[in-house]
Amino acid sequence: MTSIFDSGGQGKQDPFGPLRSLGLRKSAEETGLKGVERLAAASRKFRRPHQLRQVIQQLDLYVDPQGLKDAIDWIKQQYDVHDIEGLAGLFSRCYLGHPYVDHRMTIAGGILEHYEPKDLVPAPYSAARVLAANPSYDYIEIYADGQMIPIYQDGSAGDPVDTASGRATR
Amino acid sequence: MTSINIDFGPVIREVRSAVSEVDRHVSMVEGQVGQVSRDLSQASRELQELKKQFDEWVNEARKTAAVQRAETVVGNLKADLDRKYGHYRVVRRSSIGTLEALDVGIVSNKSVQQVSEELMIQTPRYWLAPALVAVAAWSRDDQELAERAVSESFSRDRSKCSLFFALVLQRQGRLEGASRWIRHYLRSLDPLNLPREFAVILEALARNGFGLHGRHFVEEQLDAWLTMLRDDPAKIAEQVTLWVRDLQNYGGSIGQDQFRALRELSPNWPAIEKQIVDASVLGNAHARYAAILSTRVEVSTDVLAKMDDLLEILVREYDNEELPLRREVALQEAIIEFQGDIGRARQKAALEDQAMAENIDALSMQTYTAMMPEVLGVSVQTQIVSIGALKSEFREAVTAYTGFYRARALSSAAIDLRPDHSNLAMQYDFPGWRTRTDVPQAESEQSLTEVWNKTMDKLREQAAFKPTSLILPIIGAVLISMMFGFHIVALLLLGGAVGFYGWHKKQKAEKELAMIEKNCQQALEVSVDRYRTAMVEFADAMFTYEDADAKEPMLLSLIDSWPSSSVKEAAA
Repeated sequence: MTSIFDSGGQGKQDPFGPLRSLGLRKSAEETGLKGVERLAAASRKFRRPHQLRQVIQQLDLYVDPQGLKDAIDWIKQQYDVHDIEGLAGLFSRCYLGHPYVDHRMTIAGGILEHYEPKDLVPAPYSAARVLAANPSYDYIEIYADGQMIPIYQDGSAGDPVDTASGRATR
Repeated sequence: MTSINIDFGPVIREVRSAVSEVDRHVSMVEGQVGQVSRDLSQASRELQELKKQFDEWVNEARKTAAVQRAETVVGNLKADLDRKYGHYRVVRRSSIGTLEALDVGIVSNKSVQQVSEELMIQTPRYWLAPALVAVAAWSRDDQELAERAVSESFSRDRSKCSLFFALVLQRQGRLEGASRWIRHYLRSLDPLNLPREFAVILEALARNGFGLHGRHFVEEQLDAWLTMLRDDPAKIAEQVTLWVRDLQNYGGSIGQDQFRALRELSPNWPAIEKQIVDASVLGNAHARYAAILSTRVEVSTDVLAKMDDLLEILVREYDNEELPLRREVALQEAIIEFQGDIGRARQKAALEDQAMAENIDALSMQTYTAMMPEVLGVSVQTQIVSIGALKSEFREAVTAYTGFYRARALSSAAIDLRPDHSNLAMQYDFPGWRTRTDVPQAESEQSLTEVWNKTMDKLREQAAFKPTSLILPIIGAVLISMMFGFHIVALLLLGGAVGFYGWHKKQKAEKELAMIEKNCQQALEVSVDRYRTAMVEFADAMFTYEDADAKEPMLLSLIDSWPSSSVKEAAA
């Protein structure tokens, strides 16, 4: 089976070159994904369970640092269960209200940081800001490899967006 | 000593009237200069407007010309197709005609033989002609000739010939023979390089054309291929890319008369426009695919009619010699469809071009039949089945597409009042002013007022009455009175004249200042008005965008609820 693949797949020229150069979509070879990493990319597509989304949405409510830390640990565990590696943090709209509009949650360090519109969000989270503002998405996952995955309201994962291709609002 | 009484009265009256006369002339000239400058700026403004309209018109005319040219070219190309391959059409018609004639048995074997042999001579190298001879020979039990004719047809085009006889045998109810041909056909294929006519197999599956046994066999084979192809993420990524490109064809357009102020005043307009057009794809694609799903498909239960349809598709659609001309036709038709927008037409034609490749892998073929069935000559029914088989790729393409433009979406824009944004701005050398839509309106208007005030300050300064302007007249008066030996009357009179001159100057300056104030107010009002219009239009544009963008769930749920075909999806 693989032999057919090899003989047919390589001789053809790439008809999607122009689109790839737009950064819209990269083939597995181009992004340098190897077998294991491909699996990792595929595993990021699982539907995020309701409970997980609820905890993420309610992160604003934690007032004591220990409670917040526990919540973040729990979130990390949920991703670990699905063999998700390289999750650096989350970015989403903030429900604290004025003057805050959004916040980031980092796995390492377990912090939650709220931002006002005028604040500068540190990279790579800054790229997620526009996406997080879109009401279609619940929150945005930021990965160490530079991918952002927007999570829809129903928990389904969107297609990964490059943090490099997104850009700050200003 | 006799005192000399000189009556300066007339002289002074004369001087006064001369001064006021000169003054009148000067202010008349001033008025005319002002008028001229206003006229000039008015003229230049009108010229700009004219240029804009002219550019719009030229653009429109270019598109219209492109459409007209395309219409002519399509006509010519079709005539070309007809001229070059018209004789094929006779064979195509005759093939189904022959089968039908044989069914009813009202045409003698002799004339069938004669017709098929004539066509054989008239259309060299065409695979269908010997196939027809074979059918004719078969009908009169001439086994030897039938076999020779079949092998001739087979050598001319193995794949089409196999498929043709599979369909013909199926049509005549020779199921076993039909399955043998089908098996033969499928085994000869490479799933990475399927010939175009394989689309007929998809069509036959969608129409349940193979009977129970044949169907099972074909589905199994197709499933195996698709599963194998789906093992390669790059192949899936390719399909997603194709879907994204298909989606891009559904972008709407914004009329030239919409968002006029924003178009003119915001340097971000191109990005805003693109953002709205990109988002409009969602609603348009939903409308298109919903219409496809609700198309009433007439399912013919009559096996003969069904097989005749399939045969017709097979003999009509897939002759590779015709492809170059058909590609050209596709481009011209796209130009007509996009009303002369050549860039977008090329984009669409490029995608169709790929679908017209001579060899396509099984997965891409299914994608093409899902996106543009007409290019592969299959029916809406097949399209619906194919979309069902490709739901996961379609869904992924939608989320990739939206993620792509959303990551670049603007939530605010710059508004730029250039030095020439209004007549008064041009007249008074307004230096230009820039703000952003996310700056509070009061703050922006405040800063706009300040810029206008600063602009007018210069004019006010020029127009204001300056006591220094009296120095020269005073020196003059002193010199004149020296000539009269500082005579008291002369002193008084000259002093009065200078005083009058000063008073007059001051009056004029005040009048001018009042006019400047009035114009300043008016200019500011015009500018604020432009700014506010742009702000309203920006809010409107964002609303349009959000509205269009919010249609994603609708499209996704249409895809999710799309009926899945029996050709199983690989586990997504």
